[in-house]
Amino acid sequence: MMDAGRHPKVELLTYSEVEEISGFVGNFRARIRRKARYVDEKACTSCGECAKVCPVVVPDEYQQGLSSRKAIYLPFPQAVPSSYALNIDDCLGVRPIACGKCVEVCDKKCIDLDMEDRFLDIEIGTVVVATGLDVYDPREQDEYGYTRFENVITSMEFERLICAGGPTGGHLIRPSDRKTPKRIGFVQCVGSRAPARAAPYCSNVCCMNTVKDTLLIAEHDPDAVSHVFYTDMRAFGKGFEDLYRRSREAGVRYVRGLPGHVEQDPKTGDVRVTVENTLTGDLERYEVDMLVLSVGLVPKKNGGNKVKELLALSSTSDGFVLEAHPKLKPVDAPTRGVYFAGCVEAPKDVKDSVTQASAAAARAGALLAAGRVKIEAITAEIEREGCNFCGRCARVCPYHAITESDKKRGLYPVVIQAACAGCGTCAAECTNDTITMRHFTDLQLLGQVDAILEEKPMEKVVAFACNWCSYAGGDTCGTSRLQYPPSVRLIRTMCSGRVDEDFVWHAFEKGAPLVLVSGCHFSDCHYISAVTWTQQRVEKIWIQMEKLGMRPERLQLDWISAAEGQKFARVMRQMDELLKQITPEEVEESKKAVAEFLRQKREKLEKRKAKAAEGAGALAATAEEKS
Amino acid sequence: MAETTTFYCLRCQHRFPVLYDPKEVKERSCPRCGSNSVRKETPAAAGAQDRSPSVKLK
Repeated sequence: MMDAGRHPKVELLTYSEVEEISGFVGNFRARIRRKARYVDEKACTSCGECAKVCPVVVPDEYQQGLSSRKAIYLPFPQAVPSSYALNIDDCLGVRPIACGKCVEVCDKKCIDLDMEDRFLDIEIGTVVVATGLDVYDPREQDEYGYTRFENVITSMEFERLICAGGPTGGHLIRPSDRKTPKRIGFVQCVGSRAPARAAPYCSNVCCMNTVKDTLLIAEHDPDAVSHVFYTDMRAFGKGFEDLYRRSREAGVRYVRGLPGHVEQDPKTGDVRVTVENTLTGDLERYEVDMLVLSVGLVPKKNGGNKVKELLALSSTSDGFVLEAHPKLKPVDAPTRGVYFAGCVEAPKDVKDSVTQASAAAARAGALLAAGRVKIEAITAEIEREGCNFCGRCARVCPYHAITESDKKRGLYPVVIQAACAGCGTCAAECTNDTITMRHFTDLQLLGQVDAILEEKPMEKVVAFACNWCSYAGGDTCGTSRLQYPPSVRLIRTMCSGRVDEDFVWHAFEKGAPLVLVSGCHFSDCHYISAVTWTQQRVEKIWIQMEKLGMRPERLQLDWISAAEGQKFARVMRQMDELLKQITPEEVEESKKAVAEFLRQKREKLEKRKAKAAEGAGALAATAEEKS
Repeated sequence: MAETTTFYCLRCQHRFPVLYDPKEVKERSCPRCGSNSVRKETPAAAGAQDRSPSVKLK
């Protein structure tokens, strides 16, 4: 932090908030609110005279409320910049000045109670999101007595108690009577790995934090005894297993099982813990002086969601931000030019955070150093004529690469070419067919369907396969020398999201007995969430097929990854088997029904397009009048 | 709100219960054949199963 603060090319904007952010890679514009600190950070020498005279005493958040601070305070000893700040909510009042003692004693005259928030508009090329996380609030799981018993504390509170810079100067005491605890218990997985009640995931750092704490206790007081109640001790990573071994050698007792009952003796303040040792099957009771709840890590609540909204970031089911690809782009956001560092992406320790931050900085730096952005060749293009401003394209775009449309203001949706990744979901979802995908146009894909079904259609399966997974799965199948029937004919699309309903209907109209749509598994989708739209579209077609008297079984859906060559071969064999069970009569019957359905659909489309064209004409006339 | 709903497989016709939330779009597969062509059972779909072909599991 000190290095960043001193670096000539780094401008630190502390005590600031991002209010707005717009634009795209290389051309972001951000509006920053620089909150009033009421102290000139450049003039302040951190002498602390102001805090000495301040009459307001409030709990110190940095010390987890275990000590107090003044209304004017240094946030924490290593703060950069090393300058005091006045918390206006705690102050007795500045308009009019109710106290003003701090101003009187400040020799440097760096306290300005008339200071106001300032706004800073900056242009930026890339963004690194490193908004961190929160710790789990154990009040939600009160069976461990955090809200009832004084000597039940969290691992964060323990951290402050045992830290030399903490409220006790590193002298470990327990809260109820300030005695030095000789028996300390640790409960692991509080708020983690509990799908029904708290976070379903492992918080990654708690086990090793506890192991480190037990060693610190042993160093502070060799006579102290630590008990760790755990589900599984996870000590992967360089040097961690060694740390765990040292902890056990230091006499720390590890008990496999989480406490079922916790109570505090009202007279002595000791905490009684009842736990089933799952290794022995015995019910064991322990009496400890202090119980530490090893709380998990949760996504940032305050401000975290605002950042996600501003940058249009997606979240995983557990609330952390979703990366562009879990393996290939682990520090990239789906929005180009945005990168992640630290626990905003997932719980991780310091080492992993530093590694990810370095990677994010390198990715951002490489983009800036190049000075230009290479855009995809396969991108979408919206034709204004025919657009009815429904806004569906912007809603389904996983990259938020399409601007919002507004009919009243005559704003047509526009594809930001630098942000478009070319999945084609917008083109497939556009009800008026006004979006063209370069290199994967409707005409090109329908032409392939026609070519497949030109001869002996009853012997063919029309299979749409996404470039990155299913089609690559076919390659894996081939390179593994696995056989699959020649009846299956593949049509490559960049994403299964590109498979328009019309492609499937066209295939049935042309006499296809069976159609397969295949793409990536949801977790592997190269285009973030485009695959979810594929599934919804296929479900919609199944319903329509039933309405037309067709069996939905004739449209199959499968997610095949690039590594699943065997699955690819198996699915293709299954397709071949299904194909043999479809009769020519059934296909002929459905061809007529589909032809009639498509005729009606096209009529409706023409009407919609004509209406949209009329609207466009009226808009143009209005614009002309205004000009 | 998630509730247990019967899904059926469009490949092997296997019927199975799923904890289903209409608002949640997630990957589903048939526990018997592994196919992703699974859909929520509707009265019409249930009737249609009798005349549907299916893949023989090997």
